[in-house]
Amino acid sequence: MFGGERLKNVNLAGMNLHYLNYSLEYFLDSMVKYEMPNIELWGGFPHLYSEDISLSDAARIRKEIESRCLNLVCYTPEQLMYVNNIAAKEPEIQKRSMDYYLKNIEITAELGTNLMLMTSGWGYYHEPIVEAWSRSREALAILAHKAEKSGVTLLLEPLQPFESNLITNVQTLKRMLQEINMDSLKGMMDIVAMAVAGDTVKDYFEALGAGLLHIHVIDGTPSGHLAVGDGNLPIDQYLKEIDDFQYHGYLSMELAASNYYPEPDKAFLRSLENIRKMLY
Amino acid sequence: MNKVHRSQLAGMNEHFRRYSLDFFLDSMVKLGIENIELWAASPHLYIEDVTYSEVGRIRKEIERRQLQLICVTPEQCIYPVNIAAREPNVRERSIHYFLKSIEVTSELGANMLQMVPGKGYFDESVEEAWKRSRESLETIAKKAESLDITVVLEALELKESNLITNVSELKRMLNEVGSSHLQAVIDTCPMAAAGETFADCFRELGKDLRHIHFVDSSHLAPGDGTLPLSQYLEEISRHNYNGYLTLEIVSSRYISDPVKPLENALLCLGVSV
Repeated sequence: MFGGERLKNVNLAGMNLHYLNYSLEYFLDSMVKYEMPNIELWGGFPHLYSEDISLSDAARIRKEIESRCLNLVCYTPEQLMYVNNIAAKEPEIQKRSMDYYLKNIEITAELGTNLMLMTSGWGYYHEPIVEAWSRSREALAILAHKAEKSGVTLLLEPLQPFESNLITNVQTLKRMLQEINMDSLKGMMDIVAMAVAGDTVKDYFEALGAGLLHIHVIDGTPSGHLAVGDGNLPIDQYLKEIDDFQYHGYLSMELAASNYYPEPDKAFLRSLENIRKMLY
Repeated sequence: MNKVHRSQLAGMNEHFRRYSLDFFLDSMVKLGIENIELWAASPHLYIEDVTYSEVGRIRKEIERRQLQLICVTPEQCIYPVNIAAREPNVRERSIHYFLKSIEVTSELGANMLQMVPGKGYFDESVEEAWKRSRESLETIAKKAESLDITVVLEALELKESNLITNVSELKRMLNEVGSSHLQAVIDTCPMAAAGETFADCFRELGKDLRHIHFVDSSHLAPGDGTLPLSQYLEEISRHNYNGYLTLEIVSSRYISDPVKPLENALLCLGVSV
């Protein structure tokens, strides 16, 4: 992806989740203003809610991105806030969730990117997870086939224990990737999910190798989706380790704390300035 | 702290989101909580998908445990609904969501529905969004009148909405809509964020203060945060409030073990478990 050997500012990507009280155009203009060339697009309300939009709306959004010379590195349909669980026991929730992600794979292709973020869903916490795990696996396999046909690669991201009881660490991530074993389903690392699970950067690169295609760089305590510098995670050290593994993909700043919603630019700039000091 | 009587309290299912509705209802019985406010969201009760036979089944599950349903609160802060939306299709979809919510509330045998005003884009003027919110509320209040359901409107914190963030704006909206079936719910979190107390709220709203969400800072369980809950209880008791106090606890820290924070809250409020 990059000619240089070390992680650089050009590996960074901005993200729109914490801009949800502002219009999509406001977010895109902010990225231009703050000279952020790459974006990971969060597909959520009111910027891009897949149930409300047609593929021609997606094409219009693509034009908005391209006319600003921004580079879309990944599309991330919202996975946790809405009625959405590919591992659901209830057939109607399962069906709704599958329809949601199948449409979002088409939107990914329409937006002109080839990476879409994906998570495992969850089972009821008072029930054994075996059945929820197999429902998740079957659903992910169907989605990976659809992705393959659409020229899209799904990036499977571990969640935190308050979000899911299925894929919450590098071990369960690797297990699911192996059970499905398709080129259109790869792994990614979220710094906070990694820290919360007690995993290390080394664990991720050893487990996934060249299949680690994407990283979310956010701060936490250890949980949270904070601007770099607002939490207490050793981001500087993580970045050095990531660099040592010769990772050349993108680092998205997935800020999501509701405190940032009224003034999203401020949190973005703070995160950007802090992380730029750590890169080369 | 002023003691709270068990019959004034209501439990709520929002932080039981990774457990089934039956698990929540059984937990209320075990904790001796007599009243519930139902957070209507997946996987418990998703308004857009729910059928009337499912609503009937849920009503039976509540009634056979002798729980009293005091209010229905459809998810509307994280779901993609906004009655003040600029986009006509989104606004129409959102109004329908609440019109159906009123019917579901009636079918469940409850008489109160909770709503928030929606929001406008923060990079636009609020006047147009306010007007859209008011017109949506007028439509929804008419439907509520026809089924004798009272809609209680809640202020939000600025991070959630730019329309109603304090009690005077809340009162202004009630006045502008002017419906006998639109009243107010006060939530301790936005109230504190606005720098207000219950004395302010009762003075502004009087009898229109119909319902209370009683939680600690950041929607933590009473006792886990920093709000002056003891002072709040004194203010409430001075104003002859006859409604309920709902423990609308939401923090992600409670998701794995949702019962424990309620046990602690009951102890904190002087209600024996």
